[in-house]
Amino acid sequence: MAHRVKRLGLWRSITWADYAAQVAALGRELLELGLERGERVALLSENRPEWLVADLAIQSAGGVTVGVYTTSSAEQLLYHLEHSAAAGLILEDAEQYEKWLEIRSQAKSVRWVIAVEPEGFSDLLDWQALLEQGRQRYARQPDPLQARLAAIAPDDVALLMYTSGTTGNPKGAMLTHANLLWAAEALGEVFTFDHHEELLSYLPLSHIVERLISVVAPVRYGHTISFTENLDTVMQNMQEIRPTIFFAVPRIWEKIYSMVELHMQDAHLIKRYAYRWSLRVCGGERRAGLAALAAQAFVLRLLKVRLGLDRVRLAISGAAPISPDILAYFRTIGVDIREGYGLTETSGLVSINRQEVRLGTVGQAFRDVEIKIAEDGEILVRGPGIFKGYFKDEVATAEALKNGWFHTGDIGELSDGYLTITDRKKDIIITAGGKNITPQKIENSLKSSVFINDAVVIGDRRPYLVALLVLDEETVGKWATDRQLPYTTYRDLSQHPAVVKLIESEVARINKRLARVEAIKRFAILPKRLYHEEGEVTATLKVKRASIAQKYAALIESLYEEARN
Amino acid sequence: MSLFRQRYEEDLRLIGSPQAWVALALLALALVLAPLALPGFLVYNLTLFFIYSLVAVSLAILVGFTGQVSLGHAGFLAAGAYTAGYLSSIGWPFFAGLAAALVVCGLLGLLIGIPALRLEGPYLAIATLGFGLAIQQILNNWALVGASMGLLIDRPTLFGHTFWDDTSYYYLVLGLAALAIWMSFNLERSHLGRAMKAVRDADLAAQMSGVNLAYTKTLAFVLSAALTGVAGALFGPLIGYITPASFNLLLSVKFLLMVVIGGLGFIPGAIIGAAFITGLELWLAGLLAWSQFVLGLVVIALIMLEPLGIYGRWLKVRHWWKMWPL
Repeated sequence: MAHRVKRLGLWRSITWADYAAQVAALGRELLELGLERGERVALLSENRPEWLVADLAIQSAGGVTVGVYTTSSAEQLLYHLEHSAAAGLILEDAEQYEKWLEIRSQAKSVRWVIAVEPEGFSDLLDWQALLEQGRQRYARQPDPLQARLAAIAPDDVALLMYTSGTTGNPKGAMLTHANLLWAAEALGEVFTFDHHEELLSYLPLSHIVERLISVVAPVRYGHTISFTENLDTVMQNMQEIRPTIFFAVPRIWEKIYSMVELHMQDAHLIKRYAYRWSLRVCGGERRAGLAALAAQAFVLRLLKVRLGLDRVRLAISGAAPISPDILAYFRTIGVDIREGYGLTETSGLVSINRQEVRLGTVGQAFRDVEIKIAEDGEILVRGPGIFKGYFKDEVATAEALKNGWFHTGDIGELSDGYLTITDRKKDIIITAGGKNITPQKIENSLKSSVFINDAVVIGDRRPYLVALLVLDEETVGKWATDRQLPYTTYRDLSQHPAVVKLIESEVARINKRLARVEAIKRFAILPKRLYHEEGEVTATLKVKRASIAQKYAALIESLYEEARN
Repeated sequence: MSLFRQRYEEDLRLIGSPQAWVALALLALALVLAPLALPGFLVYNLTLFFIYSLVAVSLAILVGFTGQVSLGHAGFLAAGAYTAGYLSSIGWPFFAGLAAALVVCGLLGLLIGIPALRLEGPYLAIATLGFGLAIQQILNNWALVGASMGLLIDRPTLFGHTFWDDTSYYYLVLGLAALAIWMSFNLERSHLGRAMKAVRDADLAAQMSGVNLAYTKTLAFVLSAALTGVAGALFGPLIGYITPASFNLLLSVKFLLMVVIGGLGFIPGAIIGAAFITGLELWLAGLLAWSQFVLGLVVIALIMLEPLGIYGRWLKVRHWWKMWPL
């Protein structure tokens, strides 16, 4: 089976033959629509089999796929369409169509728009109809598509992946077919993929890692991809599919952890005791001894079954730094998360912890990848996965690729081949006292609290550090309900004095673990969550420091003023 | 992949797992071997329990699935017993009498079911109570069936064999009851069963989803009454001598108790409730005057401790284990 998708409560399967036939059909039709070699086509849809069919069809026709995050606003969509000069757009449904409608008149390059679910909009091309036509056309004349396929050179651009853009506008990284082929091989060397593996696709396909494991690798190794219905059903779908390989960003791992902890707070006494006892006997040094064995067999193994993690033999975390506490927790319950590191510009793969996991590091280089630390501590990478450059941005390309080495913009250290990331180069804070602070470490420590979802540490050229915190609404909400504190909205909750006191004690607790210079002297709880659409976080939920610092400048100032008064 | 569904049948299956098959096989074995190991009066009481469980299941269909209360089911039991009993006394074969009892009670169910469409909750309870009393009174004054003197009913004769023996009648009743209960389980998972539960939970929403309210509610009454009629046809020969006095309000209440204590809305709950009440009465029989008092106390205690009934508590325990360790 190539794909599984849930419709009307039942899991439907799509065979590899079906998948291939659809790709050929759509590819043939794209030629008919006038797609030229090297032209870009934008894709705006949630994860579903059609996304993959579209991606491969575009590439088969010699085109370049531009995946757009579904959380993009209409302006962000316009930016992508204009910057990439997209010839066509494939969107999912009415929700995405609304964004297109807003900017339609400004997106001059787009010649046609295909809708997977046209829902009655007559000015869009219907996916089903196109596929039908394409099937027939391909059966009659396969040659045009075959010719395009044959004409693809390894160095041709396959994907145009717009990076998150924590500072300034997103840049379009060009990844070639050679990049992707290498990435598939490199993954396979570490992750013994085979066609028995089951994976769940829920992270945005416009992100390089999801693209690799759900689109590129399956074509090479034949494993099955199951699509979640929507973000809310991920946990349930996990229980149903029980994936054998699971990749998640730290936020997801944190969410699972806090979900379990939250549940246990209300659980029956016996269950609570069994859980805490199991964590105690299996925590710390590796599990050994009768008690640990019993805990694993009778409690933790079943916990993994409930979470849908029981068949996971490979658990990976990447795309953002993960708190060591979370890693330790999952190791204790028997899910050995391996941290990896990569960037869009390196085809998503730089390093990974192999069998010999070293906690706190992001592992050793993938095969054929060379890692070097520059004099100022910046991590430099060289290898077959390095991108071709930034689309229409020679300046940025020249800055990033110097002497054949890609400058990642991250600061790190190498030790025995194991890479450790310290922080983003641009994010390093130098306080007024001249101290170098890596905000990432402090933010991670703050985020390890179940009550805190996000943290932004500010302190560049300031006397001390302050933090802007975003609450975890579920956990704090439950905490408040348990104490019968009234609140109506998130804003209410964030301003409630009891909640502020709670966060104060959390911050104080975390401060104890940090050096004196790193301690957070003052903090403010943001009255709202951070959204991609509002330009506060990237599509991958990475905080955009500059935009936050600007937006909440007044709040930040007030945190520094209090001390002066 | 235990939660992984590719066909709807996987959810609708009656026996969901190998463990369930084993449990069923063990139960069947126990029931079949019971008469060989137990004394005669226990075999008799087990047969009575089968018959009562049929009534409880029929009440579960009416009260549990469709949400319509009935305090008159002793009346249907009486109608069934008298119909089959009288017809066998004039020479009708057993199964013909059984079929007639089914039809007559079904018609009676229709008779009360249609006016019941306009009634809810306590008003429906009173109406059915009156109905039960009415049947009792009719039988009490009807000379054809012996009026207050009652009716003597012989054990049936099938293929030359007469079921005088408690054990052989036990097997006959077991067979018929098992068949009827299996059909009730199938009713539960059928479209009609789901429609009935929809009517119970949200009748307006059910109507909007295309469920014919009047048809479903009346059909529930008819089915429930018909099933009780079948139970009645089996009840008569077991007791041997029936009088209108024994089919009183207390019996109706006892049936309702079985359903509630066992677990309202579940067929296994009804059967467990029937077993519990029958067993409790048997056990308390020795206390004579105090038996009703103790019965009342036990019932109150049970309902206070577990409003969802015995089966409801079992479901909670099973869920607790299924979710372990969460």
